[in-house]
Amino acid sequence: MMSIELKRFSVKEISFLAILAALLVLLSATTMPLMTITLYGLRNMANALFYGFFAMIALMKIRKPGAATLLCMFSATVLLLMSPVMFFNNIISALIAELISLLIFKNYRQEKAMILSAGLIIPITLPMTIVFGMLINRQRFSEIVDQSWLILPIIAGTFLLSFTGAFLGRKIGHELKKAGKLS
Amino acid sequence: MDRLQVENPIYPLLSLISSMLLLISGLIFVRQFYFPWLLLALCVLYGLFGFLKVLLRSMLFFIPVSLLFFLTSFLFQRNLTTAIQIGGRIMLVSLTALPVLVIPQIKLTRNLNQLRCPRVVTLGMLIAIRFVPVLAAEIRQVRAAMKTRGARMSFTSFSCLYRAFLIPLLMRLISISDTLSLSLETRGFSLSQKETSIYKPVSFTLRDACYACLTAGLIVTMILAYLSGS
Repeated sequence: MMSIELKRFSVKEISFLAILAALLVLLSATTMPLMTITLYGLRNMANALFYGFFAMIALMKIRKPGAATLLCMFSATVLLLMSPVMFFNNIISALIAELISLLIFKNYRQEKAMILSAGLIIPITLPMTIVFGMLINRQRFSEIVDQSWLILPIIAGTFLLSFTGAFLGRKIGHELKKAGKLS
Repeated sequence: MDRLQVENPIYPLLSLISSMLLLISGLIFVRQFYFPWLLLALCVLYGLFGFLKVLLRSMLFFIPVSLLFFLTSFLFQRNLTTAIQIGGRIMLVSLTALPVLVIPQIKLTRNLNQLRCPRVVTLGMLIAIRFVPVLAAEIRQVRAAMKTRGARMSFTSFSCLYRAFLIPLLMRLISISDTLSLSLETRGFSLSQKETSIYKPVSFTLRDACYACLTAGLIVTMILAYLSGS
């Protein structure tokens, strides 16, 4: 039977994840001005690179199930003060991304598992944004997705940027590992 | 964020929950004609609970930000109603976040510890909130070091950004987290849920109960106004 290995986190790992989350919040705040454009998925796409990158770095240092979810949870804690929607959106997406990856690969021993997990976090927020928009902002589906010809490029761009971030994170992760900093 | 903190905040968990509820209900009612009255009611509520000074201080920042969002949105979309709604949303977010922003982070952590929230969560939360300004300073230092070496931060020269900015920043980040975890462990901090003493327990007072009632009243009024209008 296939089972997912769960391990406990240490203080060192939690402090690393939390500091990484603080940096993630700081960098993703640069995309705040995009709030003025109500184009569906644009904000998700702008954040995709950062989330893919930092989730990959986090998973390369802490190869434990739940590491990416904790990273998103800590960054979402800061966002909770500004937007509860983003808080739930981030946590649920990270959880689903990790579940998909772990159901396929069982653990994070392979790099493919980490890339999949890190790369899927933001793309999963896309359908969640529609759900939350309909529930909280009382918008209709057609209102959220008002420029339908732009949806496909935005979804493709989100996937591309997210996985580019994950690959970039892998590249830097290898360098840091060589320097003995990521072990 | 430290400059916004007050000595006598509302019970931390109550602030968090009430802010979330006010924000969610405010977002639902953002298109209603009485939305500006909600913003005004929030200002009065904060004034009653002694946050007037901090409210004025934060508005010096948030009003220009809302105006900026309003103008940018109007320029991009050429729709006055949407632009007003976006500006209003920014004001709403800043106003509803205020009771949480004024809580000293340690009080929020103590409160969550009292309620037996997992220590993984409380520790992570505290670090993530606490280290945002520290890391902003680190970014400034790395950028200053780049300037000293004659490297320019630009997205067009990616290799320069990678070598001179990303790698040093991540190295610093790892060093900071290692030092922090060592410091925590030497002080006997552990993640186990065993019984611990809380030096200054946070208690729920009559003032907090009044705040809860007034917030609930505000939300109920909004719902009633919405129902009678539709």
